[in-house]
Amino acid sequence: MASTVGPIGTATSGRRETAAPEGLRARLARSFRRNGPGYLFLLPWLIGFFGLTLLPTIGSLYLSFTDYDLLNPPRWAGAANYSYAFFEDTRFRSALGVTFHYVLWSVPLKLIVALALAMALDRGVRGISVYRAVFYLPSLLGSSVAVAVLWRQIFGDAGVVNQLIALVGLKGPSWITHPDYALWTLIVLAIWQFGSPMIIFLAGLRQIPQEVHEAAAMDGAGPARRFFRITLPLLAPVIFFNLVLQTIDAFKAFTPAFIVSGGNGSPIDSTLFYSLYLYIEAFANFRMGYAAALAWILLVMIAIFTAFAFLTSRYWVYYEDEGR
Amino acid sequence: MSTAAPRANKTRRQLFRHAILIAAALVMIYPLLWLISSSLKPENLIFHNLGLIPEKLQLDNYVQGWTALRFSFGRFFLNSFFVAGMAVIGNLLSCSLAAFAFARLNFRLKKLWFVLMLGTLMLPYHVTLVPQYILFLHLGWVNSFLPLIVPKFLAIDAFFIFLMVQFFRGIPREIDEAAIMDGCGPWRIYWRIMLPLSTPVLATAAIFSFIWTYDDFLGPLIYLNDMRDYTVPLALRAFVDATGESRFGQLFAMSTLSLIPVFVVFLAFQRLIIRGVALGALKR
Amino acid sequence: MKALSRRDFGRLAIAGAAAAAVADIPGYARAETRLRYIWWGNPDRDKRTNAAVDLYHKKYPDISVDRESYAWADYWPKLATQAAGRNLPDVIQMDYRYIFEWARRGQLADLTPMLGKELKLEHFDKNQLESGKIGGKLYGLSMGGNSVALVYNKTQYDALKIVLPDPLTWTFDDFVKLAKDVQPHLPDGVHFTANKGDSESWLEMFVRQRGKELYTEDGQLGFGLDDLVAFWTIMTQMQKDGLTPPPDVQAQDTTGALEKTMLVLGKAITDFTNSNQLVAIQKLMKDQVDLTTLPNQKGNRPGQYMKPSMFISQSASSSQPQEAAKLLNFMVTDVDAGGILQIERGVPADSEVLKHVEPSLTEVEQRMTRYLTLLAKHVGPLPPPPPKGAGEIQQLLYPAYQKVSFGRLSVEDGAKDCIQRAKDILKRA
Repeated sequence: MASTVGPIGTATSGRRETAAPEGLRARLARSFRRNGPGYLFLLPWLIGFFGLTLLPTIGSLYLSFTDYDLLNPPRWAGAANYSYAFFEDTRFRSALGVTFHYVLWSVPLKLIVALALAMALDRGVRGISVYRAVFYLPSLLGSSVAVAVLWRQIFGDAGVVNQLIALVGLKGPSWITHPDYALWTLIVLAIWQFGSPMIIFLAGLRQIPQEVHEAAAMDGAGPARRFFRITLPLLAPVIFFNLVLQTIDAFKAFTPAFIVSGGNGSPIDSTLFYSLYLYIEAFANFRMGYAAALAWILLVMIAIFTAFAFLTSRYWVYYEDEGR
Repeated sequence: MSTAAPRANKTRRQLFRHAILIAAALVMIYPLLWLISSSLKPENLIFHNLGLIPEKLQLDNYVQGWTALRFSFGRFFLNSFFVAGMAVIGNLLSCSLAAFAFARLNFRLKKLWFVLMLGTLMLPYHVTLVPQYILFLHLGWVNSFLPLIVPKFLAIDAFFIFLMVQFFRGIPREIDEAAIMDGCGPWRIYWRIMLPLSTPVLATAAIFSFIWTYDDFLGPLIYLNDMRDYTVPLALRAFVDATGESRFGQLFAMSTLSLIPVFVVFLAFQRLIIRGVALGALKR
Repeated sequence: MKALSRRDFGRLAIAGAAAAAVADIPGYARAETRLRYIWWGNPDRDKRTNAAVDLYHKKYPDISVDRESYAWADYWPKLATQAAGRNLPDVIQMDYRYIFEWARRGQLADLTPMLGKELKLEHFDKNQLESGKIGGKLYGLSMGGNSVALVYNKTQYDALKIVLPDPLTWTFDDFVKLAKDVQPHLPDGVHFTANKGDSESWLEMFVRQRGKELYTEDGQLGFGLDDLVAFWTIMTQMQKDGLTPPPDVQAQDTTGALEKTMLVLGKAITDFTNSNQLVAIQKLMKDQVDLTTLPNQKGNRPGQYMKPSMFISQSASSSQPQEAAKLLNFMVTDVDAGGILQIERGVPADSEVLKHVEPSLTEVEQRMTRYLTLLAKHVGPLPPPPPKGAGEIQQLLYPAYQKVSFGRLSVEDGAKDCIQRAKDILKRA
């Protein structure tokens, strides 16, 4: 059905404008009529984008080349911040190491658990909404301070975990203040919040028609074969989506580290997440310029990762509308 | 595959599935149950028995914890609700305006702005954190709620814009056209037609807006200096770090209370939330 | 009377909440002089300080004081944020590690002009007064004298029939020997002493006992690798011998919170503290606690010193300097205020206040003053003011020592690493 009305603002009349040249005023008026509504609606976002995103981003790039402690004006420092970070700052390396470790373990494990449970829930299990709610709840409460506090107590020296272990006669260390285990308590916390990716997997699984599975089963494919040959490939877009989102989230993690470790990355900086280190440099040590440099390094890392993910996705993610 | 007694096999599989689900559910929920039950126990019993059923049920922790900090938790809850509530209003207004522009209006450079808007989704908050702080410092807004609320009125949460754009695109244009025939301008269409039809996505945006703002810790941490203005997460942390007698029971009681608003919102809108997540994520 | 309909109740509730919120908006009430006073503390100190300030308000009803108090770890970032926002409170509590940095940055008011006027300090101890001066200008008034100390569980000590050697001359060898003798008699999970190799204060005393200082006059590190190695060797050896809690248990004590110290947690019967914290510690424990001096080294050079536990200062940007100074004066020279604050912040520097307070000292507080009187016989001079970065170095010691105590680095390597990082901090500052 042909429409003579396109998106609002571009009402095309049937006639063509004749050749008489328009004055500047008329042209401006037309432009305003055409673009005005759009820009008016967009105005709040535009103000926000320029004032709260673009300018601060540029500002932070500038700051990253300065020494700035808030009390005195910024002093140009060239690439000093960056070279310090890469060549001299061992704490920076710790923070990177801790964050990578966290991402590398928590994201895959979280996704595997999410997928497993999504599959278990997929076949019209009775009481599905109850299970869904229970599994989603931790995700919802996840970065709340209450939960971080709870975690601290559970894994503390006299906490629940040690009590359970004592029942079997063993003596557990103080998990959250032990450099080998503290990060793992945070990884477990992350995995505990698998609810969100699980919901997305559920939705994705729903989109795989039952007939495909039945056909394969009739051809004699066992459950494992069906999983690897059918489910996984068809789920690839969803897996990709979850993977990118969860990884970016994991890079940004702050609250768990701040609360569980008391805000200083203890013990021995084993819970010094990148965000935590940035926060400490900016708001405890007042090295705003250095913190800005750290932020840009993080941005570049995330950008590289995202680009990498998108590029390699060509090889393992097939969308329905692309055909094979 | 044996054809003998397939039904028995199926039931066995069902049971197995249920067993795993129940075990997983218990593991998921145990920490929270433990939190609640500990909040009801007297202080000295909390770490002494692992059982979930408290031997002595008492509400002391709640009563004392409520007023244990310099201000009562009532104040902290009020602060949290105020900030979260304003965030919801701000987000719904500004994001729907922007989404309408992207979904329904045409204007020069629209594609550019759209791409930039999506780009902000990828930008980690760290990059803007320090300059935004400096900006607010110069505006004199630090130590007030303004840095937490005003950005919401400027559509800072691009995620909601994106969600709404997807939704608006699904509303048939014929409705718009009919309205234009009747002489409606864009504002009318937005306000009288688009919004009322978008209740599901608006509700989803409102819910997530509320929950995320309520749980926001870093923002209040750097912008709220006076304990009088603390939101619940900050107050809880003050509890944790307070030097004094061990007050774990009170801490757990207040933590439990802090989870209730989120929990209630979740229960009431479970379906909407899940639908919202699925719709926003999977619509291509 | 009709029962409240739901709508009425809703309206009432909203009105009530709004009223409650509005009533707290500063400046909404009658116009009067308002001062802001900020300090770090613990619940006991907060209670006393609030009571003292309430007393001030009673004496001067048209002056009201808005108060803010935070835990130590939060205090300095908060203060710096407020300074950056030109929003410092009028009256500020200061620490010896930071006061001169803040003064150098022009954030603190020079109190010298107020001497004799708003500040009536005739009875103020001269040494304590001097300690707040730099470049001849006075930037803070000492709120009490204290020193570091070993704090121990007296009840347990008595039960185990432990007799401490002469506090003025006992050595580290005595300390370790005592630990070795006592440890076998302690129950599982309890150790003789906390493992305080991460304590900047103890390190300072240790190097002073060797004739050095933590920092030199020109802001460099005043001690060397061998000093740090010696300190950490003693501590880690005790750890290896099972005389201290294991490092992961000890790592719970990294924020300065009293309730997380090994003594209060019941993991050790000896710990390290500031003398004025005895009162707060006792409040946390059922057993009786008491203080004794740090062990000495060969040559018995005194390492400890009497220091101002904290200062009360005034911001340079206060809009009411005279009023603020009057509050400062009240907090350190008013005998009634002293009666409330007592010696929770240390022994009052004003002799009148001290005279007034002494008779009413509780038993716990008397233990504190007894300790300080004893210690006064064996102290050295005040060290030079700490340079910028001193606070950061204090924080550095925790992970630096933990690397050694958890066995990641040897004592020598760990000490080298620590000193290098400390030098970096000083360089960057």
